[in-house]
Amino acid sequence: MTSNCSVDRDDTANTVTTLNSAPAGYPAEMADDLISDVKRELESGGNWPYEVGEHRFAGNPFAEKWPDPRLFAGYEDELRRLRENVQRNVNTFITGPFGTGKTILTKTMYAILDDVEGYEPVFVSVQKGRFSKAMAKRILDELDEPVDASASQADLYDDVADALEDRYEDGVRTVVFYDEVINGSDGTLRQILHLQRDVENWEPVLVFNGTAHMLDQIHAKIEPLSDRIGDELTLAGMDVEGAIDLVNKRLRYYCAESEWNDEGDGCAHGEGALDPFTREAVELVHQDVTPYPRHIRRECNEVMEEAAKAGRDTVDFEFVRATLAEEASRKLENLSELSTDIVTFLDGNGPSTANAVTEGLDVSAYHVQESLTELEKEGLIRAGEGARGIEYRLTEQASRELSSLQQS
Amino acid sequence: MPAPSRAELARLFDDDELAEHVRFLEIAASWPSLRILDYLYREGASSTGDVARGLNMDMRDARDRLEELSAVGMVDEAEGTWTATVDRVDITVSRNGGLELSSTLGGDADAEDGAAEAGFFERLGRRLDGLVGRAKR
Repeated sequence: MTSNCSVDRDDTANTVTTLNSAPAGYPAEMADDLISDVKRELESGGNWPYEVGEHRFAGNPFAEKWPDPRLFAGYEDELRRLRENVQRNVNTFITGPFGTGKTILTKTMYAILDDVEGYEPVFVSVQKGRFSKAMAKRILDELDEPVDASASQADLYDDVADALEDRYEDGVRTVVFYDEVINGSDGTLRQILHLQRDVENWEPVLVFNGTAHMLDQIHAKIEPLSDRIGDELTLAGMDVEGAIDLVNKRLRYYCAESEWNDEGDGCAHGEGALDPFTREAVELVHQDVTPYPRHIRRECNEVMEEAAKAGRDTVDFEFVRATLAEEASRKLENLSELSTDIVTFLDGNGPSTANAVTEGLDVSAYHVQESLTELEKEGLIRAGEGARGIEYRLTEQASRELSSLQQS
Repeated sequence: MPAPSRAELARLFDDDELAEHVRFLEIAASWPSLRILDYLYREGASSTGDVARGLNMDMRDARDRLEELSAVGMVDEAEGTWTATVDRVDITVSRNGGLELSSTLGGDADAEDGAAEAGFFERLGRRLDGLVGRAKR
């Protein structure tokens, strides 16, 4: 396959091979396909594409965070409630720990509104510090309004208010999604909410992100303005059917995207089909991690990677079980000192709150929370509502592997 | 926690038949098995996940136990769901010059074939006595 390459020699006689366009008469798309495939194979570590039965995946369906609104799964009731709130102009705070799907929920609503006449959604990521120029510029950009780069922060704020009011007068309902509001200072939060005061009859939809331990902090920050809060949606994780839906949508999306058969539609997954996973296998993943979309996706990503590497025909219960066991063992062996102490504490004391761990280990609450979040992301511990608030416990898999590590 | 394997019991008792009986008892009459059986009787055909969630068990434990119950003919799996295949399990322990065991699967009490197992615990007791005696010496 040298016809689509050229070999150049530089002054130092090193051989340099570059990929050029195909010569006239050469079926360029063939070479391009091959080159793209090999490039993708290299990038993916050689395990992809993964062909299994009637399905083919060009890459891991669980690697990307959230490439398409159609992959929204699991929070149907919450999405409907958010829709009602938007229609009724009710300010909504969406809360929940990291990875529960707050941003995905709001981005899905954003995508829906973007497609509905009479609505103009705006998505703003709140940055650290006061209501900044950058944030005002971002809102104006999203509203397709001109931005005066030299304007002061106060002028930009007025421009935002004017733009929103103009839209209201034109019958356009603007919905502003503020993501990661926890980053904002008290001043930022007030200023965001004061936009409502300055733009009559218009209410933004707000999104508050925060881990469980941050929730109190958030409530304390906004309490003086709590009369402006209409509703709070708390995301607590997906049930099994939500997880099944998430996996199904990912598999179908990426299988279809691989456009691999003669018709180019590539996917033979039916509604609810999980191939190459068995339902039991997905349920085991759901059982083992805190059932947040991010955690489920990450765990499925690991399992799918192993399945592609092994060229499995089926990703069944036993395969997932073995993969999770190996993974838990590896992760436990590589924990930091504090994380090891936390894991040992939870093993000895059972489900415990972050406060109990902090007191038991006599270390800073901040570091404990950081480590708990990290351990939760790794799927070694699971958070859940307990009698004393959010409690953390070892996952069954972590518990088993810890016990065998201790024995060995 | 899984029941001891048949091979493990056979090594312990040096008797395949005896190992088989002990294993059956271990599986059929244990607390997790009875809970699972109770669940399947109440809920009908169920997946491993349903059983695990319904009984607050780990899925691995539920699956292991269901497989063991399947191996002794008490449940069956088809297309990802488990069904109880017996309506009744009779285990009778009686005194007959030692322990006598009878057990029946299926629910037809009249068809009891446990007589063949008579003396099973007697044999087991003798073996255990021997082991204890050797340990004392």
